[in-house]
Amino acid sequence: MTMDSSQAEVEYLASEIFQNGRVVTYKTLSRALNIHINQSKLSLSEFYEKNKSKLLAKFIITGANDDGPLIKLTDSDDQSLKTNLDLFTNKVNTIQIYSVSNKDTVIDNEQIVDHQLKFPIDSNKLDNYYRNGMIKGPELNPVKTVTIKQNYNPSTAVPTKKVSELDKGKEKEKEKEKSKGTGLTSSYVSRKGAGKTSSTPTTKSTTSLLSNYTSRKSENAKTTPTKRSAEPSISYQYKSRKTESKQPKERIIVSSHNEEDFDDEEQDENVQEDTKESKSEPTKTGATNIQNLFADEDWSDFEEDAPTKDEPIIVPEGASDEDTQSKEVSSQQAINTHTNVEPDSIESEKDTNTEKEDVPEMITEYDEDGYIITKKNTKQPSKPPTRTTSTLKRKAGSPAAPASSSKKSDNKSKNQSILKFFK
Amino acid sequence: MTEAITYMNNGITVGDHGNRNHTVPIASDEFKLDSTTRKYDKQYYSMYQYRFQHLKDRIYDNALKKWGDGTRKIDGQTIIKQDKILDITSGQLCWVIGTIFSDLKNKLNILEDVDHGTDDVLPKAPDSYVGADDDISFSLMIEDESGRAILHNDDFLNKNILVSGCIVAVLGIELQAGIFEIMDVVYPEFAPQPSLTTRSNSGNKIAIISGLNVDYQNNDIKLDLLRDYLTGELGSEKDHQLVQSITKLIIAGNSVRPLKVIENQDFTSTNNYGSKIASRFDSQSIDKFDKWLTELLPSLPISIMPGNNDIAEICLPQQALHKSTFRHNYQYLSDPTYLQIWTNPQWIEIDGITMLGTSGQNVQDILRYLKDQDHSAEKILTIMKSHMKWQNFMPTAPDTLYCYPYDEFDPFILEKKTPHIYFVGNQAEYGSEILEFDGGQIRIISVPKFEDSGQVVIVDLDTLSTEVITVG
Repeated sequence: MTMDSSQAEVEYLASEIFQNGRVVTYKTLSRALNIHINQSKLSLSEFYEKNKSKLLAKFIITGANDDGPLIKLTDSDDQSLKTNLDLFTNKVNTIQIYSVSNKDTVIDNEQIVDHQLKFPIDSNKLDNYYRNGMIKGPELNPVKTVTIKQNYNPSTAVPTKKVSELDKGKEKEKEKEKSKGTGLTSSYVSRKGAGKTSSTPTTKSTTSLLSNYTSRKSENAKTTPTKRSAEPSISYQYKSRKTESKQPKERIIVSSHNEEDFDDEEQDENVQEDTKESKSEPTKTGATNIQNLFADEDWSDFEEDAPTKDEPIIVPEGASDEDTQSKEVSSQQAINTHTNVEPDSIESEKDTNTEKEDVPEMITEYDEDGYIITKKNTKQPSKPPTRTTSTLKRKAGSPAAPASSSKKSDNKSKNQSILKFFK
Repeated sequence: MTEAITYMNNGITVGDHGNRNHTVPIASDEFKLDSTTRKYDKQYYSMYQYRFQHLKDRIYDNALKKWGDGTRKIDGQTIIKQDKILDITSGQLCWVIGTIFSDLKNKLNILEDVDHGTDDVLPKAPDSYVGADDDISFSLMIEDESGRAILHNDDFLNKNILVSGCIVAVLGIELQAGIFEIMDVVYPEFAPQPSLTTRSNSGNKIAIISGLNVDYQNNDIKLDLLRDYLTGELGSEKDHQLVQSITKLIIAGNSVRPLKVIENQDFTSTNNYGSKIASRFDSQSIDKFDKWLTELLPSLPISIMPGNNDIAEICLPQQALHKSTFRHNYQYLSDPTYLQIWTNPQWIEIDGITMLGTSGQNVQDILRYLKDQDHSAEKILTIMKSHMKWQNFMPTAPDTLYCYPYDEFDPFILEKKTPHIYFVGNQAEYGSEILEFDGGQIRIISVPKFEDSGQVVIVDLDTLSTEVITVG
């Protein structure tokens, strides 16, 4: 039972306890010197016995009372030992040493726990721990990522992808950084409403919004301005949606916007998976992302019909550099449109003169009906007339429009009316 | 001291501590909600309607057996069945099936919140829904689509717990208009219980723990002791033998301590979205909990349920914790049998045994309905037994428990099966009892908060017997 402590153990204990004034537990000794946990207990116990006058120890009593197994931590003095031993009405298995510290330094349980935290488990060296006295758990049978998706989070596509990527790539550090912003973003989205899935609002969703916008922008740059009037032709999906949305012209605006958002997010994730570089992008622009999120939405409000709807699909897989560059440009522009209309209006002036001729026609249509806007008109997000019409339209027509600003002012009157009703 | 010396380093020898068996609990998807198809625009009435429709016949059978319809007499009075509460005639001994509604003074009321302009802030649940003045503030009714009757008979109602949402049959006489003197109550027939004959005597045990309340500011040494005990590092050979037979640890909610709520914090806090909702949790506490699991997982597979104090929505059924909570343990998440993230409540099949577990909100809420502030194990077990008798383990949802608005469905009633083990986490005291019923028996377990009690419940899967490990 008694096993002589090795020189290394004694030296370690002496230096830690006497020189550094730290506490040593049987576990930290085992982990520090990679020795068996029970060897550690015996060595620590022996060390304590030999230097009793200078040391304070804590003991563990294991056994059982009438209800079941009992584990008690106790001080080393006779009184505490006796009192605690009396609790073991059924049996005592053992008394083992738990920790040893210098008599002069007062160390409480919290500090012991704190000290133990400095010796965390290293998941790459699990065999060492099993060899040193940890009961070996069952074999881990990792399931391929596809199956994990099904088993773990059938409801949400995005987080599953995240994890599966991690499992593949072991990019834990990156993940740490990303996960920080989750809470804030998620609270935003949940307020936002029913149309969007609540599961997606991680930081990833902001990136998807961003990249969504970007691609639209890049499309604008690529396509000639005259193309605006033309039907979007590039992707198959877009076309089909377009024809659907055409039927109820005015009302579709809000709902199609949501749909678009949702689809775009999904598609963007695909894009992200393809282009790894786009991953690192959002963290760079982290602070402005939140603003972009809003700016982007406003933008898309009156741009819902733009031929750029499906652009995430258009984004060429190889051209990730181009993509990220355009992202930055677009995010800046998004802010601009939100705060200041000028830059965009200048841009749009540059675009074509033919469009300008179109605009007055739209306005007359609007005057007659109150809120009808033809889609050609709404394509120009930057033009001041379009902006005004779109806001007017929100007030007049669509109850589902994200009327965040008007909501607060309505609250009082709502409350009052509810109260009246029940009184 | 001599006694202590005889035990010193007893059974502590250097050697291999062996392997653990792997029992794989099969967690049901019954309470999972697809986040893409959730709809919050439904009214709750359809839940009550579903509950009533699906329990009514089972109650009717039981009540007819016990009371009959015009066939039995008590004190010369014939018992008759009334189809509707509205049909009850004064002075006539009769029974009727309906839904219980408790009208209590301190129940949360959204209309009051609107009145005070605080309807956008989560109200704090009171310790008790019953007001100080018992007699005035406590009123229990039975209702169906035709009407309501107030139930009266304090002695009877003190012995037999009835709360909002229970579907029962009551026998009695209407003494005054609208006041029904209750004399007896009948519950639904128990749903069938799966047979236990196919089990193998493996000697496996499971451990159930709840209320760890890991807090980055406080280091609870009990958590360290428990962890080391469960990994077989603490104690002697005898301890290892017991611990080795534990093949699964179930954490039944409240793993992370929430931040203390500062008065009026909701109004002063601002974030970029103008939201009044601030996180209740500190990421460091979550991280600490995750690291605690990292130390334990190489040795012991774990299943985690969310609870009231967890990063999960408060609506029941609470959905599984997000995987990012366990970022130190992704490798264990990759094996769906190893680190399992469950919903609350959760149905589980393990070694042929059917288990039902919750993180305790359902018991906690019913305790608020009762006049006496008794949180003893006995009371908790009585409530849990009532859950089984009502065949509804969450009757107070959606009345006083936040609940997803199911559309013409109620997942909280026992429709297809009755469990062999029913456990509830985060209770004040440990308790374990067997409830016998016609056709089987149920092991009922009240799992205490570990933070306060230092207790973990061990269930022997062969015998369904329980014992409790106490660490302190």
